Amino acid sequence: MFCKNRQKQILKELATQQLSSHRSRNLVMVIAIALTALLLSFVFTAGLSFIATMRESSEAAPGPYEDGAVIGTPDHYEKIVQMENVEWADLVLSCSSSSLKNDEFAGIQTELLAPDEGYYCHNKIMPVSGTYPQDSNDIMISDTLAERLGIENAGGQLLLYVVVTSDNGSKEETAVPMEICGVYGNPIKNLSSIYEEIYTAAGFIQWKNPCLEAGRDYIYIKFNDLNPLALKSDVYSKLEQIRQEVGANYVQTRHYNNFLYSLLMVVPVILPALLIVVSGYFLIYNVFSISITMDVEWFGMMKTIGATQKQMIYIYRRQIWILSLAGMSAGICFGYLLGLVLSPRILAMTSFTMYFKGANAVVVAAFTFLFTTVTLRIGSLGIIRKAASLSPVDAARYVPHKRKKLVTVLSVSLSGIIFVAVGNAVFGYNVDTEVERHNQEECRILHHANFEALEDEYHPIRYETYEQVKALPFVQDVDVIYKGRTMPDEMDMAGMELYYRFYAQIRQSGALKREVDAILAVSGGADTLYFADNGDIKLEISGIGVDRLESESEYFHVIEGEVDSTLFAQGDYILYQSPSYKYIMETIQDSNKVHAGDNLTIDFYDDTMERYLTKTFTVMAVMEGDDPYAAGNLSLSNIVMNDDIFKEIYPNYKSHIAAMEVRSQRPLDEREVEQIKAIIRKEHNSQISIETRSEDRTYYTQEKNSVLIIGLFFSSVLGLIGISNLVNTIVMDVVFRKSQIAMLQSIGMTRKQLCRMLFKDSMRLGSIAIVIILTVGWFMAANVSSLFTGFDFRAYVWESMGIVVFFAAAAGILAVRMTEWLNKKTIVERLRNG
Amino acid sequence: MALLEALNLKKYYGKGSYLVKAVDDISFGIDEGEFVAVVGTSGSGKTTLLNLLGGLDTADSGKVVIRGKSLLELGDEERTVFRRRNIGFVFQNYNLLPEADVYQNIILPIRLDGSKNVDEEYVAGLIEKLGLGDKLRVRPNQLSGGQQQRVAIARALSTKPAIVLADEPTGNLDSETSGQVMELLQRTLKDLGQTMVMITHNEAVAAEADRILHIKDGKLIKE
Repeated sequence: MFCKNRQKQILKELATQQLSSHRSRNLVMVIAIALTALLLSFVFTAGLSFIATMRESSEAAPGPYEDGAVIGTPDHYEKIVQMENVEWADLVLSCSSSSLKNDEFAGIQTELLAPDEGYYCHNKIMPVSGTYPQDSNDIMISDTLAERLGIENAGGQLLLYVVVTSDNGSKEETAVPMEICGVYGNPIKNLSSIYEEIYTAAGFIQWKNPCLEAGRDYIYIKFNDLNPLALKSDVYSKLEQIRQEVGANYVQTRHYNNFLYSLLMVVPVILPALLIVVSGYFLIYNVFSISITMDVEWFGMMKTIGATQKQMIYIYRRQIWILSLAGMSAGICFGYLLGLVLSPRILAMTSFTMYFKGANAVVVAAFTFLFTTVTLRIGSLGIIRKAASLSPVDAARYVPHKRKKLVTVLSVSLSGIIFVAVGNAVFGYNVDTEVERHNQEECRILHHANFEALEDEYHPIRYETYEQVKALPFVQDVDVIYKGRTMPDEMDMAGMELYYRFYAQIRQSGALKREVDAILAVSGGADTLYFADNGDIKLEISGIGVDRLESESEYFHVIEGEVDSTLFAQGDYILYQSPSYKYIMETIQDSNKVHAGDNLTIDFYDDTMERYLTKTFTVMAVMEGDDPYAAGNLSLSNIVMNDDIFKEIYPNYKSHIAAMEVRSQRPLDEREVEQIKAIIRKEHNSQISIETRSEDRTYYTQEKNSVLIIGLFFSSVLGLIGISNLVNTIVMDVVFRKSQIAMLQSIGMTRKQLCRMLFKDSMRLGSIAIVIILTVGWFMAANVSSLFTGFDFRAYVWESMGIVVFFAAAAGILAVRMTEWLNKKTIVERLRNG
Repeated sequence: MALLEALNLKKYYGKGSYLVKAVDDISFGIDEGEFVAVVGTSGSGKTTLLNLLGGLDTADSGKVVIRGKSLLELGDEERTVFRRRNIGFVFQNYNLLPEADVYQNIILPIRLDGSKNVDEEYVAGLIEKLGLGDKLRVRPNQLSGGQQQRVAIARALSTKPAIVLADEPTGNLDSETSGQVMELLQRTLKDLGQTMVMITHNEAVAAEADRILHIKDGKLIKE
């Protein structure tokens, strides 16, 4: 035991001695380890932050600590709470027939609810000031809403605009004065810019909204039998099972119904981490190769005096351990900090930015430590073992295995490809392109029913809003896009009560009927056709001014016929798009389809006049929507007509404004945009959105900056790894050929010729890498850039030139330095040692 | 005038009590066409002397004059070029380029000189004399020791140097091969009228020389 301890002591001393005599090697090793650890730490920080943020976003929903909700009645609740697999169930009564309509809540869906005690308890809703609501006119608001309203504490009054259902079923806004009895800490703060809950007592319903429809209450559920390995993807099916059992209306949960989707969240972490491990492995392996080549005589000498392989490995690994501690500490700290700084910028490009949650430092450090250690072990152990196994004689004659340069070329190429791909996305990113993609004009006011079914009853954009916006001094004109909407517009989708998009009812006849029949015959229900109870079909019918046609035509392409403004202006020509999917239309016979040149006689139903109006049109062109950035207004329209004709068909056209494109002579500034927004806010209509070029410009400029920073970071670090690999390989190659080079000099190679030879050797290696980088890089750049503003040829050319210049410069510098280094020893010494 | 003159050559290593006089004031001359053997015990300074004569090392004092040119007066580059054109080296461990074939190894010094025109007739003659005709496209690692040494000799002679310096050219060869290589070497040099200085431990080889220089402790003790 005593001897063993002394042996260990000697080995530690030898390790320390070796460590202190190899300062430059130590520095290179620490840098290599630090670089690898820094990148890994950054990726784990960003990746784990991303996962935490996604989880936060999924948790950030009403009932944050519950698994989901079944929408039904108190009777349903009574049944659910008895179920075995339900750990708890909380009942939250809806008190308003729609979200609250206060001006102060504009843009925020604000619900008035009366939860039971369990809901408060389970979701950690506690008053920070005041008390829970007791009386019917008590309300408890969130701290985030209080801040918005400028309220500091409980007390005081708030007038709520509640949507009340009258006994004849109609809904109207009623102002109800309420007492603020409490302010609670909002557990879903992150949603506060779009969603708020105000709590009252259950008595409110009987007091102010006794005719409120049944079946709109929330029964929040926590299960006790979820499979932990399913990552909550089994929640939806369990809720659905309960819903069917008790006969409730529909379910609501934020947990994805797809296990794979949950797994996909970890892909952004694992893939880059593996990429860095591979890059780091090459780097560390190269560093160790050189170090051990230079130390091989030491191994031979140690063997000669009796050191075992195990002892030599111990000495070397102890040094690696000490160096890796230094490298890893620096790498982990910097990588974590960088990750915390850059992750919000990455997430700012997504819709999850408001939920940002940083990664846990301990977890990041643990993962980084593990991965870096694995990389170190793989990169170093083999070569150390090999060196330690050499006999003294072999060590004296040691010629290091000439590492396959192809691997180095691939490793360098990998860095270069990433640089080209990321660089092209970054440097080629064009803010103006993004802005123009997403906007036709300076500003667009848009009704949500253009692109989605509504959760609340349809509230039209008021015609007065159009007139007010048009009257603004900086507005040149406002083009209105009308879309037909026939009542009733309720629809049932998977048990949820929704309201249709912009659909108008027309009687099927003639060529249109022929096409619809053909679609139904082949689709087997997998189509997008909607019908009224009387068999009429529901289509999107749009009316636009002639002036608008040219702009909108950029967002669809013409399959048959031609778009002609003159004909369109006449009023009896229309554009037509089939109401079904392309893949279904491709299976239908031509003779059954509507074609350009066809005459269509259409009976339009107007519910306000309760009559059909028949019109005959000629199909000017058959079109297909082509609008990847949703900048157009007609990409889903089935029939597009002149708006004069639209107004004839729908006399109440003023309630059919689907969108308004606001034109101005010059870009709108912030103040002008705010004026338009103020007009929209007065609508008090959460079904309206406003999009502006100026806001998009700000957003995409920020996105560009984020992309730039992140791209530069990744390119730089991976580039550094690539450069290090290249340098190490070239240096190792020269070290390997030291005696050969001495021989060449002995027979007459001058220093200049030597320098030139080293330069050519490096460029030979570099040329292969350059070809791979530029060809594969082109392909990768095209793909990565397509996620942003597209491939930029000029940026690619600059990058290519930069890479060629870089390789030439690196080869030149290395050739000069290596020539100097070689000639520090005389030819004789090198020949003798060789 | 002698082809090569060594004048008061000194090369010392270390200082004080660690001073080693590797070459200690040696002077001699070699005429054109002479074969001079340098003999001495290990550590006597033979190799250091050869390195000084070939300009691979610089003397602390003294001169080496070859064809009237003093090596010490030349800069590093000039000395290298001079060595390339006027001195052929044959090493004990051959020192061939492993990735080049036999022919490329032989003409390497000529190519280093930037000469596009190789004297094919002369090189062909060398190849024939040294029996390498059927090995021209073969790599050194596919040749025996004797064959490699013949390639090294051909390389040394390819630039028609003023003098060939051979450092124990048969040191790594068995006796039979040594004999063959030495015979070839001497015959070739005689045919070409070549001057050679050779370090050797082989008494038989030394006996073939026109002159023997005995070195001991860095000094020339007898000729």
